[in-house]
Amino acid sequence: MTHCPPFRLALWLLLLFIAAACVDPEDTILRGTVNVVVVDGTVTNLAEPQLIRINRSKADPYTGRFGTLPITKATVEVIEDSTRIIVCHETLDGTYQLPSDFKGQPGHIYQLRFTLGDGTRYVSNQQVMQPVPPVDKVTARFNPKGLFPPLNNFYTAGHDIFVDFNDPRETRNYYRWDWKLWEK
Amino acid sequence: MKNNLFLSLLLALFVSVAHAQTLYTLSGTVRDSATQQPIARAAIVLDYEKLTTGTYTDEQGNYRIEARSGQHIVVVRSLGFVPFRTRVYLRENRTLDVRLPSVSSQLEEVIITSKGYDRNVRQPLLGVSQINIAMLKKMPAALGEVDVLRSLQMLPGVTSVGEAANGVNIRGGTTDQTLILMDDMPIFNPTHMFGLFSVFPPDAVAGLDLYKGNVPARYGGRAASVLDISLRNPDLNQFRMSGGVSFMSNKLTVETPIVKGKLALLVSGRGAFNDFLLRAVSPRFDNIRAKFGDGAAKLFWRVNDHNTVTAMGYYSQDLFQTNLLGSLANVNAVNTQYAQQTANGMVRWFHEFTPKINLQTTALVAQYIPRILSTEDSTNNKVTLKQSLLQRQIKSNLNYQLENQKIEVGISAIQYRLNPGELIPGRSLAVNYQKTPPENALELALHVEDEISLSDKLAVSAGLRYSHFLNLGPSVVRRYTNGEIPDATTVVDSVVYGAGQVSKQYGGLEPRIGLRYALTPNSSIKIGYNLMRQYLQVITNTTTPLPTARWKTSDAHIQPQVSQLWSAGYFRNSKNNIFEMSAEVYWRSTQHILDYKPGADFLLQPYPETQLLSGRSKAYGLEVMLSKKKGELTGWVNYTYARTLNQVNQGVDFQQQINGGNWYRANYDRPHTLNASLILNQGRTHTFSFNFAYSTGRPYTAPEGFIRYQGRTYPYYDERNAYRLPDYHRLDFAWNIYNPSLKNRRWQGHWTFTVYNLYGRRNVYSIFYRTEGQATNPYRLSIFGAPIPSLAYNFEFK
Repeated sequence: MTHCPPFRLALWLLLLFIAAACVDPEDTILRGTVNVVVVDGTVTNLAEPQLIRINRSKADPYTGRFGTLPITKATVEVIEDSTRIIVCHETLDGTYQLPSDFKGQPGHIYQLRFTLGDGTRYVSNQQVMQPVPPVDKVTARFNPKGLFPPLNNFYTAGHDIFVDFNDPRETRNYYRWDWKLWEK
Repeated sequence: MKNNLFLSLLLALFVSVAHAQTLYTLSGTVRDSATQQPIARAAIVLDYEKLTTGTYTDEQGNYRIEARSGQHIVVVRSLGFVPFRTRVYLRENRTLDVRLPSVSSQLEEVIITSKGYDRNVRQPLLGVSQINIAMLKKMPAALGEVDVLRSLQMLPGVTSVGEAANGVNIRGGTTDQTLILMDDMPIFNPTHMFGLFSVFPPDAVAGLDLYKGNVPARYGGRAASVLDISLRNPDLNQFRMSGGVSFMSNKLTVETPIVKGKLALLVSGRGAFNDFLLRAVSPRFDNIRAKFGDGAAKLFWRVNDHNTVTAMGYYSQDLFQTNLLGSLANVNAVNTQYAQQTANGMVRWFHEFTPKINLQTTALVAQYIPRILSTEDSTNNKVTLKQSLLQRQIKSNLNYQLENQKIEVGISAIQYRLNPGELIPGRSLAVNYQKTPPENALELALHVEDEISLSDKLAVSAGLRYSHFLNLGPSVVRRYTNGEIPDATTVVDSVVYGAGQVSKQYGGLEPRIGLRYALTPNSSIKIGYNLMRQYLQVITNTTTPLPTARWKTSDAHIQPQVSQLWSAGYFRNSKNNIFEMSAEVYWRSTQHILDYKPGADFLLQPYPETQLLSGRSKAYGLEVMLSKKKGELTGWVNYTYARTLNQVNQGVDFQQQINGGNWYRANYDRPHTLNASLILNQGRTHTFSFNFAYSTGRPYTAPEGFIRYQGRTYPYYDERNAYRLPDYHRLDFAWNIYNPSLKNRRWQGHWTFTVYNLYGRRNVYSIFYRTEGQATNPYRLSIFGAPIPSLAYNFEFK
């Protein structure tokens, strides 16, 4: 917990607004009315398992605490170019996998469709799979002051990871990077 | 020590009791100092003990009071007169005749009127407030900086989102719906340091008019209101210098005749460079930089009895750096600075044909350049995002004053040139140069207005303005599939316009009508109607627009905002215009307001229409104000009930609606506001003043809960502005000491001691969420979370 600085030093008078500004923890009780279906899935053009996870993020109506429940026994399909329907099968609770021979192809249009056990149907927008420029180089560098604000108010060291690739200048692209941590 | 004092007080009491056996008579007459008329029912109070030793004068102004021998404090008061205080040493029966100066012969303190003492009642305009700069300087100011915008918020109908607000919200208008003019030059960013201080040089300001109801037809271009600030004309005959030092800034104003009686110059500058003190105190503030400066120069030339020329320049600069502000997207920055500068210039020629007819022609240039600079961590190179806004304007007004009416005709032409965003990489290897296409536009207007007094009771102000707006090329205008959400996938085709080609135009009439009907010589009712069109606006997705928020002209997709205001009010002056009472109600409806889509990003966006939704807004309210304009105690109390609601419902898709297409609260919707501002004038040397402000907390958006996505917890937002911050209230105090030496010297000093937020309430400015490990925790931010004392020294040299 932070405190406003004490009303003491004459010098403090000069400290004006920045010192007087203060941040306190807030104990709002959120309404706890959340009840949403969260779909977390990607279709890539890589030879890797193509997974779609569906959960229900929901607040307990009495305590307001939040939790998630995997949604099982849903019918999940990916539609390619509005014609080809690819059916997913549930591997773990709430995790649906596309057939192992399936991978996306840049330039094609994909859409997700699923039906829950109670018959509720959901359809996503159509999305064109964009070509991705290849990664030229990945490097990492130790940075003793990499984290701001410090983790647990103490740790600042981290590794800066640099990814070099050529972003086509004329189009406005967005990138998402996933990473996995391996330890030897 | 305390006990000793108490003891000596007790002793003193006993002593006085012991000697207080003899009673003497104090008698005399109380008269009006100007007319020498006796004042009846004037109160005479000895030693502040009204019950035991008070009395009143009779019809002839005579009084008689018995008191013990010894020293007494005598106070003589009567309503409408300046009280009289003195010490009397009674050793025998004494006569004390008193002359009281009448308050109505004093100058008005609170709200000055340039057009007569009872303008409140007489003028056919509603919702016009004026603040006298002398009054402004007596009001408590945060950190000792006299501040126009902050003081304005003590008036009814003027609010903001909080202490760090980049502008004011007037009668339910957004900050950019108020036209802010300083000697005719538009001010696009009225504040320094993210809203903490306003940019107007306090020593050069002569006065300000706020039009929140009826806006005269000569003003146009903004939808809600006009704040017209005028700077002082330099004195043609006398050299004057004034200045001051406060913890925040240093300032100096010099006015000097160059050719006596003909040509004079005023220069006023202010600078705040004290941020190094922060770093000296704690390493916590190492990364903070906060500097600002502003200056104005005004040259006044009286060519002859019929012509005057005024030339003026204004410059303001700001630099602000803190770790609290995010860096530019995709730049790994060690620090990020916000810098902005304003450079304005104006020339005005005033020509008097006859004493009744005059012509005023003004040419001006206003330029505003905000920048965000992020210093890259590896190279120390600064990546800059720059925006610029240039307005060039020429306007001319012909005024004709008749016996019972005042006629005004005018024309105006404005040229806008906007650079909405330019990313300048410097030596950066990771950032590409990018530029958003510039915008060019013209805004033309003509107006005519007649203020006419039809009878003793009825007066009308009828104005009509026609404005026309042309968006000019070079530009590329996309056309989207009808009924579809405009984005990159629904583009049908694009039209390319060459330089100077009109890509879109809008125009329309703007009637402005005000009507006054006098019920009695001291009271009146007024009604008004106003229509205003706005072609240049700020698009933003923050609670208060950042200084770097993007300005946007109306174009093929973004329609001009049109606002209509109906208002009615009752006005009453009493006790020789010492008290002024007003009650006003209003209803305002605005079309084509802009709100942002969820997750909108305007930065370097060439097609902002893909990020915006258009809707409508309604605002209504009641404002009641009581002010006392003269006397020892001056000030006002006002209460406002006001609501502002928006509705965005462009289509059935959830992406085309906000809050399901229902009415939702604007983020400055604060239903109840109570303000009190009081000034106690104690003789010529001291004034004490208090400000009290209360208002309902502003709405904010809180997450409804949390969701789990990609193994992390994220806050989930649903409805906008569904929650409210805690109520806001604050008391400020200021003590002004004028000329402590009491000698009439050429150099006069003046001290101001202020405590802002006297009882140290941590008023919540915002509630925000911070992700800490797996959890997301809420925090409340207070801008002034403690009492802020400050001391300022000002001087004047004549």
